[in-house]
Amino acid sequence: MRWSFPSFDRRQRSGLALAAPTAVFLVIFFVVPAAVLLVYSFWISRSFQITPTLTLSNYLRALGNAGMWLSMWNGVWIGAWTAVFSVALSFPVAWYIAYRTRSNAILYAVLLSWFSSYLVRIYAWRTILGTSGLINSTLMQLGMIDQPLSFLIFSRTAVIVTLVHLFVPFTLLLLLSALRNVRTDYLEAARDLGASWRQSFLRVVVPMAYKGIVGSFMFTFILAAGDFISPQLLGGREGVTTGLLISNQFRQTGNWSFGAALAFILLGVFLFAYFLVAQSMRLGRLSPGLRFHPTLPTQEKA
Amino acid sequence: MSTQTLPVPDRTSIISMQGLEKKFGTFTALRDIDLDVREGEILTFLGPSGCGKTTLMRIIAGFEDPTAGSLQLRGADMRRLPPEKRPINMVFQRYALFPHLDVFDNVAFGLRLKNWPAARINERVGRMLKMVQMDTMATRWIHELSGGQSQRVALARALANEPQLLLLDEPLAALDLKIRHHMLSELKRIQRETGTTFVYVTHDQDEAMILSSRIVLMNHGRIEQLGTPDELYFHPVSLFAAKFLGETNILPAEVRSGAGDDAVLEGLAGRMRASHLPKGLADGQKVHVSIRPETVSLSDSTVGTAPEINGALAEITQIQPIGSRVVYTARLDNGTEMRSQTVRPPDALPLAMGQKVHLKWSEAAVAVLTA
Amino acid sequence: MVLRTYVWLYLLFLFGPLAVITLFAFHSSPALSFPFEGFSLKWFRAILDDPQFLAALKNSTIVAVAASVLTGILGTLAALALPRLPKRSLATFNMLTFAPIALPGLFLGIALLALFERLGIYRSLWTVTIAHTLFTLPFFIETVRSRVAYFDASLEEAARDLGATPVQTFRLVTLPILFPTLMGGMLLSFALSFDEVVITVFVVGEKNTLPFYILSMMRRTVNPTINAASVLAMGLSLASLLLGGLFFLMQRRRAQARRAENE
Repeated sequence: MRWSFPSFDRRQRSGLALAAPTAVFLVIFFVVPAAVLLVYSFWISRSFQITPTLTLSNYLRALGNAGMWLSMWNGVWIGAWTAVFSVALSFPVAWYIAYRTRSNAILYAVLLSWFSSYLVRIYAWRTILGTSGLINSTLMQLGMIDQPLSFLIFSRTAVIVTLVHLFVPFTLLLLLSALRNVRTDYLEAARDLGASWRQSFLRVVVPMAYKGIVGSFMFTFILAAGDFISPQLLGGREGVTTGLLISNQFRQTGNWSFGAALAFILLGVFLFAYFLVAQSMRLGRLSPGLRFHPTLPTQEKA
Repeated sequence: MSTQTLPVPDRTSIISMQGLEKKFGTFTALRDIDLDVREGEILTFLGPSGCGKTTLMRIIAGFEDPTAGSLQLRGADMRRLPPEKRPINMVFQRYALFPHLDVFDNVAFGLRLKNWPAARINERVGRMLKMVQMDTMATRWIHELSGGQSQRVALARALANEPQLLLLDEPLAALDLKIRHHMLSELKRIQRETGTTFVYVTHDQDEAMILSSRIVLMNHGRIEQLGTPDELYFHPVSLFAAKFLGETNILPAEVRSGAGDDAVLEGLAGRMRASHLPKGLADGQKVHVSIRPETVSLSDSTVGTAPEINGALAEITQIQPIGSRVVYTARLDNGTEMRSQTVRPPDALPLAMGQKVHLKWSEAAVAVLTA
Repeated sequence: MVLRTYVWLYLLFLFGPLAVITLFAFHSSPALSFPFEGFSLKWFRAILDDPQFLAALKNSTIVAVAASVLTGILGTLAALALPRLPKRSLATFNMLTFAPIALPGLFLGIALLALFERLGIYRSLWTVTIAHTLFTLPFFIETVRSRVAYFDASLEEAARDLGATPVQTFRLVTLPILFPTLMGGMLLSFALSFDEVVITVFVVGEKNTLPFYILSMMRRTVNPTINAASVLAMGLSLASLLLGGLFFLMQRRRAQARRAENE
């Protein structure tokens, strides 16, 4: 877009002025708090009292703690499986909405479920999976089991089932917007050039919808791995995640500095996970923007 | 407009359709399609939007299944063959070049699926890109290409598989006029070089006339007329065909004095004789005649006498110079208007508004339309 | 068709558990298992007699209204800014507005808690409102972004050309066109705020919000009054969304009727 110069300046200035309140709000309540948290992670605190002494001890303590590593493993495990299931379960539905129907009814239904309360859905799964819950009591009444199946609740599986239910609408929306960019004529072009269904999926759909697929996977992963309420209510001892540890540091133990250090370690794990996913997509030749032929130096354009 | 047509080198047909029909629910998109696509020709599906031309092309490509009729490729039933198994490739209307791949990899797409060795792929892609004059842009990304360049890459990609038949779906619709004319001659050149059979879909009569060996004129899901551009232009069989291709004067008329070869037509522009008559005309039958404006000549009515047949006396009501041409509109005594088109003279126009003129046309210029 | 069946199963997975909880909220016995022993409203009566529940409901409504209004104001200004910002500032701005929802709510919660503590701000419904705005603002901006992108800038230029001041242009052209989108964004913010609990647990003061109260009930016990409370909370946030939808439909009808009258 090109604007003539005087109006360009005025327009630009009005844009900056309009953006200012939001920017200021976000700086004060997002950027500054994040910075405060970062600083805290290098200070010392005990039972809600913070001492401004520069130290790495929080990080060292966290990294040397087996419980922390176990919680990290739990969080990553829960996040990864939640993301895998959410993407895998939502993909066919996104496909159906994008290519097989013109009505928006399914989309609206999914949106509606997204807004049907976070806690209610956790509670619903507790009702269904609980020791005296729907599944156990039904099975016992039918005489199929004598004792409640204990693995149903207070396990990582229970947390994963619940988190999948929580995040699957969100995953679907991201996948759908990605598939909307892959017009049907690209699919037809692939088949016309000789690609089987599987080949056109791997060579065309995935690279073209890369942002949406990796994005929805990573989002679901991060939100699920960082969730602490589902592990708290459904995870039992097996499901203690780093998110839950962090929340306990801030709400019960009061060692904020240690909690902050844990949070930044978790953030580092998220970044590393993203790097791993992006790299494996590249290695699998599923990323966009790869060249599959040797480019001669003379042909290379700056 | 070119009156020259490409020679039809081989009469064997690649694709053969018999009684083809396509229904979408209760809507019939195609009916009674009997058509052969001949080896080496450029066959154009021409018609207004919604006439079924795109559906017919998509059936050949394999993206739609016909609801009835037979579809054969060199004598073998093609109806069960999925699109990826057909030796047919397509240039899509909006090109559908993969944005995640560069020019080279787009062209190599089909070859990679066949697991060709790299050297062979390089050779073929290089040759294709050279043919469409895009060999210097092999490493460009798709979003860096202009419309005309995208068109060339799409063509190279479709031809890289060496298809027996190339389908082109309104490939020039997205280009501006100048590039469009250049691409038409490029298409013709590439077709000559590769010898590939082309099926070309368009709603643009000029493109069809310039490019085609034969034209399939379609309307409401049926084949209206099939023939060379000249046949369609000079001998349209229906009102629709006459109106769709080029400008023309359409006049209602009635067959008089014998239904034989020397039938005379009586109509709003007086009595007429036509050198080329459709078979089976009956005395008293109501028909239309089509007379192209460029076949109608005008002359000052004060000179000579009015022709008794294939001519009329009229008054000029409008003069419209259009670049190299002049279009006159003349009104007959009974109010009928006819247009005449001539080459524009370099000096002042010889005729003026309101002037009385004699209109004249030859027997060959009269096309009799029974439908 | 297989895919169609699958889509129905998917929807069953989404709505089944919600249906189960709703059903047991009306169960006459406290057992959360079949056979179903009959309908009763007693759990609803119990929860509606609970003064803490009613206070939490009131607090949540106050916070959700305040957060959606604040979001509406900031978000509308931001939406208007989007097409006007120079490229580089736009990229930064986009990142800034999206970042809060790219992280788990936990991070926002602890960061805000640290900030409020540092500044000596007492935790109250105000801090909850700010936290919720931080959470709803990105959703609001993402919702209106595409609509603003399609907004035809030449409409504003035409208004200016015809003699409208910038303020008049905004009032007579920009606002009426964007209004439904902005209202939609605000209702979305209301529903999100009404339901928010992850960030809330860190910044809530003495006054409970509804989800926070339900969470503390859930920690204590499994009991059918939670079902009733949950169903009420869910019903209220869905009702606000459906009301919003209805409002748009009527708005659009009225606009169409007006157009028809003018013709």
